[in-house]
Amino acid sequence: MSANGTNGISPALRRRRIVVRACLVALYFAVGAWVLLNGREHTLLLDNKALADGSAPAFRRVKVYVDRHDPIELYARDRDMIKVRGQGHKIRIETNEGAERLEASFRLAFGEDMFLVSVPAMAKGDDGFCEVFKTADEAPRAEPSADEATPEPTF
Amino acid sequence: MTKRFDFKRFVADNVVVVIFLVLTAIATPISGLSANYIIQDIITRIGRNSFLVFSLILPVMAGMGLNFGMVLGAMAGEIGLIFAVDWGISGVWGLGFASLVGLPIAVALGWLCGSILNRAKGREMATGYIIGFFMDGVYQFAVLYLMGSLIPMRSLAITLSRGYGIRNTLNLDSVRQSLDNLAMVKVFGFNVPVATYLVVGALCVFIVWFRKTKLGQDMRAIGQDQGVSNASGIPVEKTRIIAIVVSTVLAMVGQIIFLQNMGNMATYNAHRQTGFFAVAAILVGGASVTKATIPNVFVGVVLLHLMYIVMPRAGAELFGSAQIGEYFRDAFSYGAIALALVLHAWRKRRGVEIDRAGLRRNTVSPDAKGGQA
Repeated sequence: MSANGTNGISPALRRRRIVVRACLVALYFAVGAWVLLNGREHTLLLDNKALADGSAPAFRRVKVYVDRHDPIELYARDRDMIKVRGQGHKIRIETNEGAERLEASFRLAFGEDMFLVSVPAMAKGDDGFCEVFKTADEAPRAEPSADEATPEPTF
Repeated sequence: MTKRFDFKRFVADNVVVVIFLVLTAIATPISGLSANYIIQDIITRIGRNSFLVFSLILPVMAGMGLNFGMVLGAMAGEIGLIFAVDWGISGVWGLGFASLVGLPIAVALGWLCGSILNRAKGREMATGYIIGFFMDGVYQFAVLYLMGSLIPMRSLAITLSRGYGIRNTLNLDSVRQSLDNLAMVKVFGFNVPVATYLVVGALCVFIVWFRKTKLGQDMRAIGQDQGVSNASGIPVEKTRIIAIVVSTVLAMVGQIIFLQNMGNMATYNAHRQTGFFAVAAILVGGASVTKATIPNVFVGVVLLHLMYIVMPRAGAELFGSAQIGEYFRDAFSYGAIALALVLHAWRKRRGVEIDRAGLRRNTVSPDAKGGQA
């Protein structure tokens, strides 16, 4: 070992080693982020129910294509599930009934697991056709109101 | 001058392989399993297990014996898979994510294991085995208490109902057989997981290439004589640590490949027998504590798993209980390890005795030592 504690390695070589190692660490995180974003799986619930405000009825029969998955056939009031990977997706419908829009692109939030896709809303041209869906276990419990709060025990 | 083939010598050199061949040759017709069933199962098991077994080659090359400490890599792979499932990363992406998460853990554990083994030279196998038990306790603490409390977990499906800790069995549906099914090809009626085989093939190429590199040559030199290697300027301790780190990383990837094929994971037990089965396979394939080659891996995986497939059924046919067959296969697997270790010690001692006798007569015939150690 040399007196200056550099193990006999020239400063240029040491600098190059540090740069190479820093690049490897950066590459590791970049690949990690790429895998994380592209591999994230989301569940889509394809919903063929009339909108609550009555502005779009359910299709009697509609074929729904999501990305390159096999098509899913839905009848009125049907709901089906499909799993997709990544955040950007395309949905396309085939129907004999009238629709203002047959194809749309949408993005999913990375942190959410499940989304409800309303097919009638998408066909109507509504951009908010895809919304986050929480199961009963995941949904935050509402604080009981003052009226519902447990009454003080009386003796 | 051509050497005559000596049958007795050949059997003595390959006694473990011969014993397994004889056993499976007897058990296969008794089991009554069809050739198609056995071949399909063997094809699946080669893809599932061989990567794990390959992780043993480099430490043998570096003279560190069979790396029972590979279970550390298996644990790293399992932690990677837990996070892949928790984050909902599916398919081959999930396997990649698990590998990326497991990589720094495997490197750190491999470095720790290598450093400890450097302080226990000559007793690497027993030390590695005990390190495996020790780290199993640390793993259980991390997975049972830290995950969900100190380490945030997203998924309610994998955490215990108390709110922290991972469930006993992890469902790997999101990554199940994703590598196998990436390119499943039917060849003569058999499903061959081509992608998995390509990964294993790439590892074979890596090992062949690695042996020719400076580092690979250093490892081989250290495996032959540490004192001479040290005197000739090879950093013995550092090279031994690198051998263990690479072995641990390969074991991590191997465990991920193994578990994606199985489709579920016994969170607290899956890694415990990994080292034992991998060591049994490579020894059954004809490897020894000082010499392991790529063909040893394939021969070992085929023979050991052929026995695993046919023995329970043979036991059921012979004794009316498949459990007897299970006992047989366990006994023979442990027996293979014991026999290989005893043979190694015996050959080593015989070599020393022959060397001594040769020195007295001032002549040593290399053939007299019994070939490979």
